[in-house]
Amino acid sequence: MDGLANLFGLGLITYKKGVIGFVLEKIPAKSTALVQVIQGRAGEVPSSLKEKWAAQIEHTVAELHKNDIIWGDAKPENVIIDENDDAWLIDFGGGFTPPWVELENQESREGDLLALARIREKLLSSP
Amino acid sequence: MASEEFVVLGIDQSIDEYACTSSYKYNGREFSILLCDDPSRPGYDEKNDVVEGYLEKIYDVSAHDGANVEDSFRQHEYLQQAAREIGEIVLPLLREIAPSLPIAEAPPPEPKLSEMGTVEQFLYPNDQESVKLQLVALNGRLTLVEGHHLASIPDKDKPMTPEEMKGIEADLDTIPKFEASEVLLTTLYRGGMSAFGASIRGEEYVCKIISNFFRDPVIAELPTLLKIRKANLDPEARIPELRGVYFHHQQFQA
Repeated sequence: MDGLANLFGLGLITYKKGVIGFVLEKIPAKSTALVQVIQGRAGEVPSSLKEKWAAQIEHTVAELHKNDIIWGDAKPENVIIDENDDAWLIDFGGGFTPPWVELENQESREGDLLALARIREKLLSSP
Repeated sequence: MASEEFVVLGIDQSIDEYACTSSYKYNGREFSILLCDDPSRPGYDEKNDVVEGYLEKIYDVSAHDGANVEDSFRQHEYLQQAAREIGEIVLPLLREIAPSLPIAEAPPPEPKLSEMGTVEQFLYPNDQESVKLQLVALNGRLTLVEGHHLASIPDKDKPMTPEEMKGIEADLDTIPKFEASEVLLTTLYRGGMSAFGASIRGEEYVCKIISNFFRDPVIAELPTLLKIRKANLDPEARIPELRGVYFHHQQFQA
């Protein structure tokens, strides 16, 4: 504590030199994940629900892009379905996961959009 | 040295599927031996088939859902066998270096409010010294990286540096701050060790830790989450909200 006080000339602990993590709102997730739906491991899911999820994911990404923010590692594993059957995007740490995003499109709008198209296609054609 | 002083603790697979540690106790000190498929180190075999062989077999025997008792037994047996085999390889070096290492007095254990404890207890465990070594191959034979125990690991669980925080300080001012000792870990999410379920002052959160292995992606995520928070997105855009950062003040003492 004294070391910090010396560093900053204050008697207060300051967070500015020691951030080791962050916390996020917890989304009460359904036991069925989007990736399981795409892989056909979630039983029969109504096509209206799949269409709703695809549209929600696309809407969220459009909102991000409108604000110059890239999802980055866009893939079904990074979508949570909550207890109300709404789709949430997670993981904004960058990187890429083929075949959803390829190296040449990583961390770009194009990468996000190609991944969205692939997610929609796989989701709607899943059992 | 009497052989009973050497205790095989077992293999820990919780890092990820491409790495694990095999742990031992010798003369009151704990040793963790890293097995990973990272690119080889200079001076050692470029092709590290022997270490990868262990990793593959460990992965293979662990690829089951726990429903079949025989699978679980097979996994247990092989993990024990691998830990014993690796133990035979590393024991001579442990004998050699153990006397030069100070024996840390084990402080009284802190009470844990959950099985995993707080972030602080998880990252900076208040227990006896653990010496970390890496298993590699030299001329086709398994060995340990020479002098590994003497090297400092400056990035280990290091908080964000001032350079890494450049440009986000003002935004960080707008969100709650917690101490690592307040963040109670409750669940490990998905593979790896970066996302946990956590509880702070009775509220449930998802917690991301800037630890050694996942440092870069977790650090990269924070500015984006701050930007999302500031962007005031349409309420129909569903992204878990950044609720705060936590810090460990002791890292910068002395």
